[in-house]
Amino acid sequence: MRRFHALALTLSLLAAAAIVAGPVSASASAPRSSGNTTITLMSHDSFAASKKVMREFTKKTGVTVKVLPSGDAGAAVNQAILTKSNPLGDVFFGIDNTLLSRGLDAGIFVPYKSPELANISKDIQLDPRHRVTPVDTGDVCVNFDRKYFADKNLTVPQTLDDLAKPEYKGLLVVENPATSSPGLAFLLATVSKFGPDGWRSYWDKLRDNGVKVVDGWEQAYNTEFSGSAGKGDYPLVVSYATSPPAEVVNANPQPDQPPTGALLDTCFRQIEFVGIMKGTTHEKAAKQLVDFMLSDRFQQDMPLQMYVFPARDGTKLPSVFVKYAKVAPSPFSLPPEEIAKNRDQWIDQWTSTVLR
Amino acid sequence: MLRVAELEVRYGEAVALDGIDLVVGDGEVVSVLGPSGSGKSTLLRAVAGLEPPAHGRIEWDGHDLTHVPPHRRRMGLMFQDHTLFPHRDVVANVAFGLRMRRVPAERAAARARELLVLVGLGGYEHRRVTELSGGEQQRVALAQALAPAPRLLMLDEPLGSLDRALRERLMVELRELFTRLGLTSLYVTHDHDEAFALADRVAVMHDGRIAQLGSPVEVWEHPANEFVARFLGYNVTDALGTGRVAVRTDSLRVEPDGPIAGVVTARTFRRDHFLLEVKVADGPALEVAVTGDLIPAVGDAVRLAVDPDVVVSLAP
Amino acid sequence: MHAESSLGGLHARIDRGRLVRGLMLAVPIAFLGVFFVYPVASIVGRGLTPGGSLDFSPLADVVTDAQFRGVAWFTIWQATVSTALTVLVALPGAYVFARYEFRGKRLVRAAVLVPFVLPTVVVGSAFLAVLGDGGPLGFLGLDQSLAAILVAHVFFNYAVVVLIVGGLWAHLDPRQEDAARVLGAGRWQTFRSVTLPSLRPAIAAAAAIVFLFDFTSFGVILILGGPGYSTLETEIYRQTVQFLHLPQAAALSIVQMAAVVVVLLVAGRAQGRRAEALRLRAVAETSRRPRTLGERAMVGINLAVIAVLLGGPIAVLVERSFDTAGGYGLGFYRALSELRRTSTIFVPPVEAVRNSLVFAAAATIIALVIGGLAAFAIAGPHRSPRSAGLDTLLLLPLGVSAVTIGFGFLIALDKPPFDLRASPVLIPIAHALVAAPFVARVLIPVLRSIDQRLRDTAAVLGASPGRVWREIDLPIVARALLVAAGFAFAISLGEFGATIFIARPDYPTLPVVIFRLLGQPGTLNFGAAMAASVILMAVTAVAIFAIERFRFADIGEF
Repeated sequence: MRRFHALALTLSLLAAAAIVAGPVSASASAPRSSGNTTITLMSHDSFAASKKVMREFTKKTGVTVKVLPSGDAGAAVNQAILTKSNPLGDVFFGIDNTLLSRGLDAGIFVPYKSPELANISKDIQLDPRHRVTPVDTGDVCVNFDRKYFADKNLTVPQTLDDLAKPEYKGLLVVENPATSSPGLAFLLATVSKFGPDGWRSYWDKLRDNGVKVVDGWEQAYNTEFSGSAGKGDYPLVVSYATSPPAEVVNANPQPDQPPTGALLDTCFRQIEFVGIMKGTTHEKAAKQLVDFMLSDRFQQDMPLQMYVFPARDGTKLPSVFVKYAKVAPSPFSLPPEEIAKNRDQWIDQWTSTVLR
Repeated sequence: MLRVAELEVRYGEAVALDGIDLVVGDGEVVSVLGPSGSGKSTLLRAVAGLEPPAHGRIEWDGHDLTHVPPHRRRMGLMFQDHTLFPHRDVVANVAFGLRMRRVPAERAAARARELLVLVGLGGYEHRRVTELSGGEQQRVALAQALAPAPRLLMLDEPLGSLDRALRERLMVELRELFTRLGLTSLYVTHDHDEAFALADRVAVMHDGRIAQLGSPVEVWEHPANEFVARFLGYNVTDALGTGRVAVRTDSLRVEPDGPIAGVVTARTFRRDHFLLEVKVADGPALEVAVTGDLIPAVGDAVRLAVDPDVVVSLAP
Repeated sequence: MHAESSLGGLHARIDRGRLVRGLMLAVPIAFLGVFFVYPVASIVGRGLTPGGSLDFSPLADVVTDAQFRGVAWFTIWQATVSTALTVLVALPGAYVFARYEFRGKRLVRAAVLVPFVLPTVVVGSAFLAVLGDGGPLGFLGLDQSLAAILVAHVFFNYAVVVLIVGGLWAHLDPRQEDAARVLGAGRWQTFRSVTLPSLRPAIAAAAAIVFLFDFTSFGVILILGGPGYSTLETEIYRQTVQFLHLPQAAALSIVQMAAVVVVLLVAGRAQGRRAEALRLRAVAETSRRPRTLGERAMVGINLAVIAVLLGGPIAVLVERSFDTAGGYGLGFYRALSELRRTSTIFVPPVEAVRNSLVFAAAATIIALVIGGLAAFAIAGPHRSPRSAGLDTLLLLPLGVSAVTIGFGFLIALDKPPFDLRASPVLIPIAHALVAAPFVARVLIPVLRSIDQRLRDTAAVLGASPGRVWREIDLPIVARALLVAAGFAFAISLGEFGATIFIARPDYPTLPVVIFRLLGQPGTLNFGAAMAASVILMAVTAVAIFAIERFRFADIGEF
């Protein structure tokens, strides 16, 4: 029996450690507070920033930022909507143009016109009432495996139409738009390109050309795609325009040239926004955080943290971005209202076109 | 001294014990005899405190025990089987009750060893109980029940699962033990040989009541009613012309000019006698124990005589 | 005066028994009420009252929709087939673990739980490496097929059957089987007529759990089945997380719960409420080294099944974690503590391990208390006749969508004293909701098999009710309790279910680290994710091994 008590004791000690040690990691991931205000930044799981940058914000304003990761982008937005009567955070980051209308219609944000908006392109300021403010942009594009096309002596496809051609049969893997945000972005790119009446016949062709559909980006990119770690069988994958520089940064040893590239004529532009959540009791600190996220300091830090392009005009990009991350010259886009109105129907139609 | 008064136990609507009155004197062994379902095990469980009574009292030396929980009654109980703790070795099983009474470990172990010797299992201390034979398990169970020196030892068919030879040997040993230790005991069995061999008094139970209470000789010779008589193996018949009577199988004789005529319908060999089943003119068949050289065969017509001294009249 | 005092005593005794039983029932019921019924009722209630008044039309729409009915049907039958397969494959394994001794047995026992903690996306990539178009088994064409779903379900749930059924089997007296065989019964006949009836409660318990896991399986369906398959669970996810169609999600959740309740009731009936008391024996007495060729083959075949089915995908992960660009090495493990060091997203691996262990310990304690009390209320000496309902209620969280529970937490637990939405406490609670039914299901068959007369004997020998529990029930169920603790620990380490869908304060655990790494492109991120997975597996195996090693000195290894 004594050993049994030992087990109980060990478990209790571990539990006690949980209570006593409390914010073990909060101290590691959030800067220590020198002021007396702490605000919560609700976000998707991919939010990241340099610790140093966040510490500077705290030093400057006395405001400590606690990050509350809340699942993928869709789950985070829905959580914010469901809890709007008693919000979980003060600021929300990570609602993008495909989800924007849902958030705005639900009334989870209060308007704030940041003075920093002057530095941000009007094209991406999608809410004229400034309930949300653009922070970054990212292009979802088809990526290709350089080595595959070089070895096969095959011309790299350029356009959406190319992808349906017989020479690229069985080479493309895409994500299911019902479960994946880049998957949805790529579907929207095809809607934008071929119009509400033409996109389904394009997908008919893609299906006949052996497009493979998987559930999420992680699986498509890490497992099915041949150009990255998983060494899969598909040399074409729906990913981001910033994936090639990431392949350089996150490799050891770092290659001179990314093993992959992005097809810039296949891109859909995602814009991520930040907004002050209705019901916050720290509106001043929340405004300070929004301003900070639009400031040059934060914007310069962002590319290598979240692999996105800064929204602020004239932000100096890291050299690896300058070298390898191409910005699509004329990406596809759709107005948020149109997306909001049609997205469920498009996803259903896509499902019956491609999967059934 | 145990006194049970007007004891009643119910399982929902069913009455398991219906007004039991019983006294067990110090040093006395009382056997509770009855067929299954007669309530004899329930009586033990109620006395042990395992069944709450619906009515009545249980006393020890005049102190009311009725609502004292089982662990404070200082009694011993031994079941037919399944009573040993499979997760403990032999000595730990025997010492269990001592440990519960906070006897220091060493003294408890010493006493447990003594008892194991007493039941003939010296040297078995660290065996696993699941490795023992049935007879050995019952000896351990007995030692276990005896260890804390209970003021009343209750045994529920303790020999029921053993083979006949072993049962008879253990019966003798138990009898000796009861006498030697001067145990006050309640002994439940369905076997009247066992009851008569071990008990100072016998309580025959029927449908939750005590049908007869008396010494083995009294009960055997004068069954109080038809149920007891039948349970003890008597013939119950009206065929003798003396009203309803009980007559033992060995009180009937086959005689050429006996007063009762009948036909043999079955014949069974029983070691030292044959048992005949004889169909008589009025009433049910009679069982007759026969010895000697000339044993009638099935189908033979026979006449029976009866020894009048051993006929027990039954109240109508 | 006598009569008065005895009447008072009677009441006192009855009230105390009632009180104990009442408390045993009240604690689990209160826990489930606050952390399961209330949140789920809140989210479903909100879905059914879109305009402020009850509207059952989405439910009617869902039930009459042919495509949806197909989804419901597929959900049930894939879970049924997966469960049957798992039981078939794992039952011989349970036998081997129960009856034979072999080298490394304890380690293998601990290792079979490892798949339990692995994130599906990680296992998926390992499976695809084997079954995918270019893999060694690619020619089978199992990629994105029903077969892949079934194989993965067996992979994940093998341990459930082996440990729950094997746990009871190890206590059964092999002499009974021997006796039957001496009487001329064949092996199969002996199994069917002697062993199977004794094992039935344990098999039913294990099968119920496996079924519920398969029924609400999410990652396996999406990743290994591919987007062509959908179940109630993936539909609820789609309607809630993607579309925020709460009425449809509520309707689907109701259908899901109804199906679960029906299945549990049917299973409960098949199981038979009154399991007979068994002559339990110490584990060490019932197992021995394999002697004959047949016995050795039996052990060998089962170990081979484990090696291929469980070891294969795991080996792929281990290999990948060392396979760096410059040949095999520890580069990816180093990357774990170097990659993005300066970022808020960085988690030192030691801290992730510690967070994982702390949450798992807390979840295990909660699960042991809740599941243990429930098991005693259902099958212990003071069992309550009305506790059968608790049995079903307790299992229900396993059969309800993690999205429903997670989103339910958000809208229900937002007022003091239960404003736990952003509290770290919610994470072990969510884990315990999944782990508590395990604990109860592991304990119940063993508790039911304890002969009441053992407790009676102990009581007459002077043991108070509490002492009886401590001296009889606890030591006999202790091994099962440890198995249950191992399960609870593993469940929590693997971050199952609802926690994916609750906002979590930033105490990153190992699975969180794995997800973060997988979410970024680059071979180093992927390799580091594999390294983190291997660490998670190692931590799990060591923890389970340690838990299993805790034996109770004075009782020996019962």
